[in-house]
Amino acid sequence: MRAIENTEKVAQTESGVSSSRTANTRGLSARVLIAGRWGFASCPVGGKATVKKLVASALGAAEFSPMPALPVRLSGFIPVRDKWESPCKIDPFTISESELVGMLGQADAAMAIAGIDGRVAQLIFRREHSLYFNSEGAGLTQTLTLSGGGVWAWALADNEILQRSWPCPGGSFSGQGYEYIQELDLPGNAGRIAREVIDLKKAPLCPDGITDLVISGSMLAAQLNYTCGYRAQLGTPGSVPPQRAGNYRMGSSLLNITADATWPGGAGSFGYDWEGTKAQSVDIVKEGKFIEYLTGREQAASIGHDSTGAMRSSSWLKPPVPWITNLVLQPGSGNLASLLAGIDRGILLDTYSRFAPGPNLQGFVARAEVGWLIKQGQIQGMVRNPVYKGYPTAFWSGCDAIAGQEDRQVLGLMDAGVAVGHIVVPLRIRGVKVGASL
Amino acid sequence: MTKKDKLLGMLQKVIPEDVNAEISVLSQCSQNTLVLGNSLADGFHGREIIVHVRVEQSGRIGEHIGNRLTVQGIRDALAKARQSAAFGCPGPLVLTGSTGYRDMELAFPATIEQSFTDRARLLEPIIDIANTINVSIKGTLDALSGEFAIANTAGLAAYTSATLARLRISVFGAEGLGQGYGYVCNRNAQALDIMGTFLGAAAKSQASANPRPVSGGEYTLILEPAAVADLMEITAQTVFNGKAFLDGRSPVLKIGRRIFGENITIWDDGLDPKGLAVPFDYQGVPKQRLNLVTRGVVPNIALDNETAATLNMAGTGHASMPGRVGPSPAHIFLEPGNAMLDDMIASTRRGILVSRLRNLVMLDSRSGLLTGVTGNGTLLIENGKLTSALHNLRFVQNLVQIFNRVEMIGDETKLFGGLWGGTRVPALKVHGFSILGSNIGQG
Repeated sequence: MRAIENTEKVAQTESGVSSSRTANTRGLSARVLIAGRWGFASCPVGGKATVKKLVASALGAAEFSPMPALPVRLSGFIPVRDKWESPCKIDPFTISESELVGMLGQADAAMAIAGIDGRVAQLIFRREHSLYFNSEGAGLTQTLTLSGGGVWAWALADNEILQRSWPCPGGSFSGQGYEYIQELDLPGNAGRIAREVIDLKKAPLCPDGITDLVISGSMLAAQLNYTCGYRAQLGTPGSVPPQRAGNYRMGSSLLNITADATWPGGAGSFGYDWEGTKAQSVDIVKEGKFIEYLTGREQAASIGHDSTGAMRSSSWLKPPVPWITNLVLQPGSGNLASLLAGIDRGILLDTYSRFAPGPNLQGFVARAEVGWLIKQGQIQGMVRNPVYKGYPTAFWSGCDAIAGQEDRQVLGLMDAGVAVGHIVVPLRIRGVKVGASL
Repeated sequence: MTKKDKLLGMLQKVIPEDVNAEISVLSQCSQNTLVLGNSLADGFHGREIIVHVRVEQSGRIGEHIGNRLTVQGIRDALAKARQSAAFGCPGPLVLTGSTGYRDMELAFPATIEQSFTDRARLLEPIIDIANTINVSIKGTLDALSGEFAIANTAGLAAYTSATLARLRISVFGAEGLGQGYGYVCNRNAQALDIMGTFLGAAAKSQASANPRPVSGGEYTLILEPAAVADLMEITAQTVFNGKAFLDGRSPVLKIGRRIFGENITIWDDGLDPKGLAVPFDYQGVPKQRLNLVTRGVVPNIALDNETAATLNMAGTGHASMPGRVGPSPAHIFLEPGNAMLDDMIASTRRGILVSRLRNLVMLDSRSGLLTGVTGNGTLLIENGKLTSALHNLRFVQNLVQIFNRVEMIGDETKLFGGLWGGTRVPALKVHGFSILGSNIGQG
C-alpha cells in the first residue's frame, strides 16, 4: 500500500505576464496479488473507512472468475524499513514568490526583442512524500524533490513556428532543490535563444540527403529515451524480446548505457521503487549489445532474474510499470571538437522539437529546433527545420565516436508525467536521412 | 439530499463574499478489466477528485488544485489560491454568470453498478471464441462514472453526472501477424455490443495476416472511422484550440478563411445526444452547437472565458479541464457523405485501407505538419479490391492538405470518446497521402 502527498508550485512569465499556480493532492493506492492476478485500487486520502474500502476495491478487482491462465509470479524480495530523501540544498518551496517572479521577469525581459512573437519563462517545483508498506515487511518513507525550469521563445514564419529553448522545450528537471535552477541560469541564456530565433528566420531550410550527425543535449536525450530506454522496459510493446539479453545488438560497440536510479540529483532518482526494491544502477547496453532489462518483480520473474527496481508511476492513481530512471550514456574519448573534426559535411543537432517513435518502437521521426551545418569540421551556420528518421538499431550502428566526460550534460525530461534523467555526452552518427521534408 | 444538493451545498458554503472566485469539483471513478492473451488479467479501480479554485484578489488571479472533498479541504484550497494570487496573472477573473443549462440524464445505473464479475461474464464469450478461432485479444472493458460541479461568486451553481462503458480491443491473428481493432462505447453498459465489436476486429485480424512491405510514395488512403477519430483528436487540439489560435500556433490564421476542402463540415455540439453530450464546460458555460468548419471555411474557434475576453468575443463553452492547455472542442461531429465503405474501396485503383492512425505527433502546429503510423490492420487496395496485408506505414503529411484532398466521405458515422466528450466521424477517402514506407526495419 502506498500513501502519497504531492505538492506543486508553478511560476511562469508569458510574454511579460506573470502567473502562478499551486497544487496539493493526497492519495492512497493498494495493489494486491491473489491467485496470480493483480488488483489495483486508488483513491484520495481519507480515514480508516476509506482505507478499508480501498483494500476491498483492490481485492474485488482481483478476485473474480475465471482465474488467469498464466498466473503472475514474483521474483525474490528483501524487505527493508528505511527512509530516503532527494538531495536538496535550497528548498524551492521556501524561495519567496518575489524572488521567483523577479528572476523570471529578468529572463522574460532578455527575450523581449524585436521579431519575437512569444516567449515563456517557467519554473516548476514538486515535492512527493510517500509511505510504502507491503505484506512482506517493507516499510519505506521517501521524500522526492524535483526542480525544473526553462525558457523558450518563438517567431511565427509563413508556414512554421521558429522556436528556441533553453535547456529544452518544457524545461529540464532535476531531483534536487533550487540549486539546480541557479545552475540553469535562465536569465543568462534567455537573450541568446531569442537572438537565435531571429537568426533562424534568415536561415535556409535543412538540405535533404543522407548525412552525418553530431547529436547532443536534449536531442540526444530524447533519442536515447525513445530508442534505447523504452526498449529496455520489459513489457512495453516493442521492448527487446524476452530472453534476448546478451545477444541482441542495439548498435555500435562504442555504445554503453546504464540506467542509474542512484545518480545523485537525477530527475529519475529515488531510494526505492514502487515495489520497495532498492534503487540500482543497471547496465542495459554494453559494447552495443543489450544485456539487461528494466523490470519489476513480475517482469523479472518471467525471465528468471531479480527485479532491477524500475517500477514507477506518474501518480498514485495508476499502477506502476517498468519505467526508465536515469539514462547514462557512458562517455568515450575526445570532445565535441574532435567529433566535428571527423565530419566533412554534416549537421549538429542539440535541442529537440519533436520526437515520434513508431508503435512497437520500430522506426522514428525526429525534429530538432535548429541544425548547425558542419563543413570540414567547422560550424558554418544554421538551418531550419531539420527532420531526420531512422530505425533504432540501424541508427545506433552508425555511431562511430562518443565524446568524453568534459562535455557531459545532465538533463531531465518529463516522460508522460514521469521525470526521467538523461546524462549525455555528444556523439557522432554516420549516414542518417535528414531534410526539411522526408 | 441528492448528490447534486450535497456537492453544490459544499461549494456554496465555501464561496467567499469578499472577492471574485470560482470553485469546481471533478470526481471520477474508473473500473477497468484488462484482457491479455485471452485471459482475464488485472483489474483496476481508481477514484480521482480534483478541486480547482480560482480567485481574484487585489487585481490578480490565484489558482490552486487540491483533492480533499470536504468543506475544510475546499476552504484550505481557497486559502492557498488566495496566497498564490499575490503573484498571479492580472485580472479580471472572468466568471460565468448564472444561466440556465440543460438538465441531462447522462448517468446509467447499469454502468455504475457493473462489477468485475459482471465484466468477466461479458468477456467470457468472446474469449471462448477467440480460443476457438486461434486469435488473441488484448484490451480493456471499462466502466467510468463521474460528477462535475461548479459554483462562483457570479451566482453560478451547476452540476452534472455521467457514466461511460467502453470496450477497446486489439485482436491478433495467429503468431500476431494480423491485427484488428474494435471499439464501442455507450453511456449505458447494457447497450454495448461486445460480440459484434469483437467479430469485426477478429475479421480484420484475419484479413491483415502475413503483411508485406510497400515502398514510399503518394497513395490514396481510405481512413476507417477509428483512424478519422485519431486524426480529429489532434486536429481539435491544434487547429481549433483558441489559445493556439491566439499564439499563432494554429493553421487557422484568420477566422472566416477557407482552409479545408469545400466538402468538409465539422461542428462541435455538446448537447447532441448522438455524441457524448454534457450540458456545460469546465467554467460552467452552457454548451451549444459551434460550427468549426462550414464547407471548408472556419467561422469559429473554441474559446473559454479568458480567450474570449482577449479576442473581445463571446465565449463558446469550451474551457478544458485544469492542466490542459487552452480551450478545445470536445464534442466533434464530421458531416457524413453518401459513400459506402465498399464503394470507396471499389472505386480505388491503388490505395490503402487504414484502420487506425497511431503515435500522431505534430511536427509543426502552425503549418499542420504531422507524422504518425498506421496501425491495427493496414490493407492494400488494387483495382477496387483488398489484395494483401501491409506492415504498418510511417507517414509525414500536412493536416490541412489531408482535409483538402478528401474525395469521398462515408455515409455512416461511428462514436469514440471518453466520459466527458467524444467524436462522431465517418470514413474518409483521401488522395495524395505521403507514405514514407513500411514502419519496419532492423529493430
